[in-house]
Amino acid sequence: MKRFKTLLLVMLAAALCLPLVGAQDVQLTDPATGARPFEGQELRILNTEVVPILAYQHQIVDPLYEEASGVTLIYENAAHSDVLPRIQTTCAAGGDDFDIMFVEDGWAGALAALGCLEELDRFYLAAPGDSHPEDFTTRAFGTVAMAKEKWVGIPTLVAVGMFAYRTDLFNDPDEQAAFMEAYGRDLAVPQTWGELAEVGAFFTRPDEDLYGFNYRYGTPNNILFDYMIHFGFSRGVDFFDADFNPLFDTEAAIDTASFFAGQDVLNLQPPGRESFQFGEVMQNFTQGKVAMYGTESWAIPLLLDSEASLVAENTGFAPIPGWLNPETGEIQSALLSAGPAYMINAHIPEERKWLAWDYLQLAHGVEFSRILADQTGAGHRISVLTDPDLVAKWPHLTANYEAAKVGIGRPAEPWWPEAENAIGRALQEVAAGGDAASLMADANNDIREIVADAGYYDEGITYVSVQQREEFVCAKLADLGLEHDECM
Amino acid sequence: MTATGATGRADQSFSTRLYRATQRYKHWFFIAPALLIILTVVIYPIIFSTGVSFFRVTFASQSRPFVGLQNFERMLTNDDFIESTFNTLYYVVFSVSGSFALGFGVALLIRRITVGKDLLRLILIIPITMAPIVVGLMWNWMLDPLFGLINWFLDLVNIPEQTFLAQAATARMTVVLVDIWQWYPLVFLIIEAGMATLPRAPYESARLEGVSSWMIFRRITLPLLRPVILVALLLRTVDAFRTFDLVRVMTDGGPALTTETLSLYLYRTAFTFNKLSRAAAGSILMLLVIGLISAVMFRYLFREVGDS
Repeated sequence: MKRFKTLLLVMLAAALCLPLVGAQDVQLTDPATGARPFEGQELRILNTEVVPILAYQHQIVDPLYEEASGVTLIYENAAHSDVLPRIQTTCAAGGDDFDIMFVEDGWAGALAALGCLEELDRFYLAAPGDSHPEDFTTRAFGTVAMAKEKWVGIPTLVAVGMFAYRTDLFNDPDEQAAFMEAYGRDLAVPQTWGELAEVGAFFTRPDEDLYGFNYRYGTPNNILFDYMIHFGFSRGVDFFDADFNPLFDTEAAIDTASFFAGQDVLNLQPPGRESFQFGEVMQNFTQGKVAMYGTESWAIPLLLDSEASLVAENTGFAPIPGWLNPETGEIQSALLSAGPAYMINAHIPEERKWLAWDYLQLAHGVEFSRILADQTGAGHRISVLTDPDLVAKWPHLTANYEAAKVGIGRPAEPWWPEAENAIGRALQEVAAGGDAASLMADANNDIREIVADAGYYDEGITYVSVQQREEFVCAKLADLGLEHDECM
Repeated sequence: MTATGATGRADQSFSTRLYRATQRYKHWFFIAPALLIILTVVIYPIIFSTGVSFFRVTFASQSRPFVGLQNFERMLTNDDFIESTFNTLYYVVFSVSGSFALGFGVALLIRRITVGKDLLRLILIIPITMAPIVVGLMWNWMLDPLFGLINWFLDLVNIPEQTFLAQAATARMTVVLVDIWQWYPLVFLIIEAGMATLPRAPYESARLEGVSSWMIFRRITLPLLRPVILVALLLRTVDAFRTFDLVRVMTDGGPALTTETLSLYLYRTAFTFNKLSRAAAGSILMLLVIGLISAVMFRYLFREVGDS
């Protein structure tokens, strides 16, 4: 019996030490030394390529990783709206169908609650590679890469609001003269909602197959995003107060809905606008059918790709228009910061987790991100957004950096997809001619019910504010032994 | 010798009994595989879903408290559930009647054609050979307001461009029309097959007595075809009730929930919103409605078959 106990203790000690031994022995792919510890293996990634930057990553960065590592990447690309159901069902069943998954910031809470997401601290501490989690703005990292206080992902992109416009139209002397005659001021990229409507009306010429601008109204997720990114935040709209009371029935929220989804603004957009999703709005701009396009930074590579866009050479970027506060006379602007991260499936075997980490730290690390930014003009790491050479080549990176520093994230609670659907539906109904006040009030009540259902009011759970998210990030970076200027 | 004879009789008796038992129960042997599959993939999930609908279950549930009929109550008072139920009924009524009318009409017309009948039949059934997702994507492109084929034709006759799928007023009917386009060949094939089996004698007698074509159709063709018609209607009704893929691809339930069918709504409730038990309650309600309609149709069907 005594020998058995001793044997048991030895086995237990060995089991406890094994991960440490494994961790210390871990070697990552390193193009500099030629290390290829995972050569010959396959890495399975559940992805969606609905946003262009992911397709460009796939084309530019992935071959570099495959060449450096000898690993074969196998992608399963699903429609954007199918990814969350796919992950939820697979994860709930403890499935290991994929090693890495595309996770939007708003989904992280639901997936963390399911125990699907592998925390990354131990990988970083054992073998940081080129991951550099301190190379993101704290707001972006807190929104995209973390589930509350847990670090679970490496951002594949950080989406911030951008305003694309046709430089050929705005710089055309005839257009400028015509605008001056019509409105008594210079034709310029709009800085306020009012100017947006005015310039949009000027360029709306159905006979010429040209319209003012376009936004996404087609799915609850899309319409809510454009509502908040381009209009809501600047008007002072927020998702919840500190006690998790939804704020979609406020005067600001209703005014914003009336403007964004009202007929006056809809009429300045190409026909079919009520059903526009990611693809249609991009296509309208790249085919030269709209003069302006309220978008996000993920669209940049495609908009600048002359093989994909007829107006690539004539595309300029500017900050998104803000709201002119009638009381102060100031232009208020605020931005949403969002985006997906690649996260490691917690249900895969340990050795595959290290393979997944190997991919994340290198393919989405500092060096490869720089290559991607250099070739496409899209970047989300501080080192890229502030690189003098890259900024000289792609001036919009500075605006991206400023936006990434102040961007506000959407909630990432387990029930958020349902709440997003409720408010998105209400906005769609406003676009279909419904009364904004009553629809937003109904949606607000629906969301309150969803929050109540989740037990948040009974349990006194409070809303994670922007400041709290930043605190989570700073605490996490400190745990990892890292410093960040924004945490000083 | 005697002992051997007794054993032989016993063996004979055993083998006889075995043979008789095998004969008596052999049908179970043959239907067992199918029965097993049905039990596993149909009956068990229904029982499981029914059970889940009385609890509060999510993917992340640690505890699964019993909530009685609460999920059913929440579903029946949920605006989105009610609207998607209405959408589904609209879809069923117009899609089934439309595809039936078109399929029946085509079946009647093709009987009169003598040349190129086989080729025409082949062309007519093309829509049913296509996957609903392909059909949805194809029509999405054709209906596109800026570069779609339909609007190009409308433009030729000076009709302004139409945004069929973007307007609440037209999206629902547009999806129904595409569904009719895809599924009328099913009705056509069933009705045509039924017509091929009709006896000639009643028609010959009617013609000899100078009965009009309309009266022949009304008094002979329709009554004789009634069981076939009921089968076609039953198949189309059940199929229309569970429509998912076509709507998902064409509108994803929009604009503003006007095309969201029950299947799509329940899918979202379960797999996107993580409300498994509520979705289970909704699916049970849906099953009851389909079951009720099917039962009524089956009753008519078997009565007709019995009469005939």
